[in-house]
Amino acid sequence: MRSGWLPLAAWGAALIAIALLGVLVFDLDTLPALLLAGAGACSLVSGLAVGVAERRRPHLDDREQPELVVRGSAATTIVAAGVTTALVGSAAAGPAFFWPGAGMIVLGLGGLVREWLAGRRLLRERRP
Amino acid sequence: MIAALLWSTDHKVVALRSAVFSAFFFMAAGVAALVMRTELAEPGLQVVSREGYAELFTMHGSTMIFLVVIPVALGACLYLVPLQVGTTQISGARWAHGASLLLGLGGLVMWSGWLTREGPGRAGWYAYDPLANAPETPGNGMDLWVCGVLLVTVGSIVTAVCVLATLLRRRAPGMTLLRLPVFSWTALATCLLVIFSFPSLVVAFGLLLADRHGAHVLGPVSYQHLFWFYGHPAVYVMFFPFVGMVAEAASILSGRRFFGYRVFVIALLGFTALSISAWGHHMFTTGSVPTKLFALTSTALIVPAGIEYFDIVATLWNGAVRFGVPMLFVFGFLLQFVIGGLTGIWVASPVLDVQAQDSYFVVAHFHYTLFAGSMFGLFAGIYLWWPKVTGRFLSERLGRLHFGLLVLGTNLTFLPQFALGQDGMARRLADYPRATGWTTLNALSTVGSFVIAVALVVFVLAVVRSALAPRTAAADAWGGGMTLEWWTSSPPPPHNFDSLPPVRSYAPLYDLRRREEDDVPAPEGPEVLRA
Repeated sequence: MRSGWLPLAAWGAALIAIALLGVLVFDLDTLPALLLAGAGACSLVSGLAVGVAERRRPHLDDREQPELVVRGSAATTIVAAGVTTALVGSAAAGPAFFWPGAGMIVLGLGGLVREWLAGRRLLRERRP
Repeated sequence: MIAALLWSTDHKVVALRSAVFSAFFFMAAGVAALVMRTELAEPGLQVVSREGYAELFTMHGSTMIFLVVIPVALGACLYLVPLQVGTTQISGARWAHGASLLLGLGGLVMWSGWLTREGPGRAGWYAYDPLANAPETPGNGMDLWVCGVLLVTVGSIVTAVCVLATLLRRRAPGMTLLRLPVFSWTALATCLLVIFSFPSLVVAFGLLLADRHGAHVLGPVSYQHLFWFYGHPAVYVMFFPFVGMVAEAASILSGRRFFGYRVFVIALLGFTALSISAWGHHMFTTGSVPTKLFALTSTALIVPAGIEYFDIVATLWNGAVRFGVPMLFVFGFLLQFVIGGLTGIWVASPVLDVQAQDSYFVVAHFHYTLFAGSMFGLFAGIYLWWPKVTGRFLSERLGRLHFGLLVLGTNLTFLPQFALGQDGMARRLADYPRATGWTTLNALSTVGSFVIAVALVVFVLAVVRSALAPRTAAADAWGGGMTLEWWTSSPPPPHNFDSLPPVRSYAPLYDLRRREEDDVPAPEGPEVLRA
């Protein structure tokens, strides 16, 4: 039984119900009602999406196929450092930080694409 | 080694890296707390200025919440969930790796404010509008603080998505949702809260940053709604995983399956739904929220909380309880969190909350929940899983000393603060008149904070001693493990499992032991072998 969708959908429905209770019985304002109902709706939709994904393809650990186990990613490190530097540059330290940060993001994303392609190639070679 | 630390995507390394970051920030926040307590030990300004005090309480609070307790809670989920559900890796390993880096980098950005001329963030951990606006809190240090919190929060959301995806999509064959270990259920509840409430803080702080740079888009009440929609669930993010740790420790060290598993799961989901619906009680004194609704949702929290307490206590009941250090911390958690929980009913009542608002009563309340509760749950988990993570045990003797000092220090620090709050001492004060008569209670609280510091030094000694000891822990280090992490070696190999036992309940190892004791042949279905 694969029922990963259930807690997400049920939890989302519960939040929407509490938001409705707040609006109908306790005169909850628009912003708080939207926050609660919005979170509930997102959870509900996520649950339904997980349900659809479960129907479309088998559970990851049920597949009789080799799986790529990622052990390291230098590119991710560069992207994280780039995002931090760029944000600090844009909000506090100015262009001297922003542009190098943006460059690191581009470099890191390139590295990620390369890692992804290498992983795909490896999987293709191992597939029976 | 350095390469592994910098770009490993192994969920265990990523989680430990986050723990190391958090440990450093914990020490920094602890030093800030000691300086504050020293300042308050007697009337007058002896150690820091009022401005400096504002920086200290802001950095202490924000570091403990954004950089210590939440990342440690999520880090524990990151380490344990793949092992408990019997999978080789976390879903979205690169994302989890990047998220843990954002934690460390975001923390550095927050603390780099000390290097600026105006100093770091000093508008409280909630950075209320308009106090946190550029005219009221000028300078780059505050901007850096906001950026740091944004980075860390995005990192937390990404980590939670990875853990939730692992729970929903990577469970071992046979592991239905109602066969998830108790800790994994608390991880699932934690992830729901992070994913669906933390974006609200990203929006709030994004708008705050825009506001500080000239775009006036926020009103005080709107900001508070956005902030507390994050802020109150965050309390439970800092609570649920530690309840899970306590529940696992209680079960393993009493030799009993967890009592009332299904009721616990239902209560946990109800708890989660109510906890995200209770944020308005932080805003009772604004007069802008329907007090009846938020008093109802806040007070109703006691029902699922009571069920969880009952389940943990009932698990211990009639069990063969082993009073090792993890169990001591279980009892410490159970007894002390009651104080934090019951004083929560006080602030959930609009009438009483008006009295307690912004007083030391609130400070004592949330420290009893987060320090006397969650931190004791965390230490129960650390002592329980340390042999699994390192292959070594922590010293029993130092552990008992650590526990004793921590109980003494915690209660000496925070119990007097209830009385101070009742007597009208406001929080965030750097000084108070001698005529108030608050000196003795404040001095006691200060002594207690130093006892806590000594307790933590003892813990560090235990860690160092353990690191120098040989690896002796077996796969099932306590001899009573229930869940899959106790099946694999201590420490686990990079791929987590060489084999898995059949999973036919939430306690598969307990089932195996019972079958062996009853001499029942193993059920059909070979072990699942993985390369």
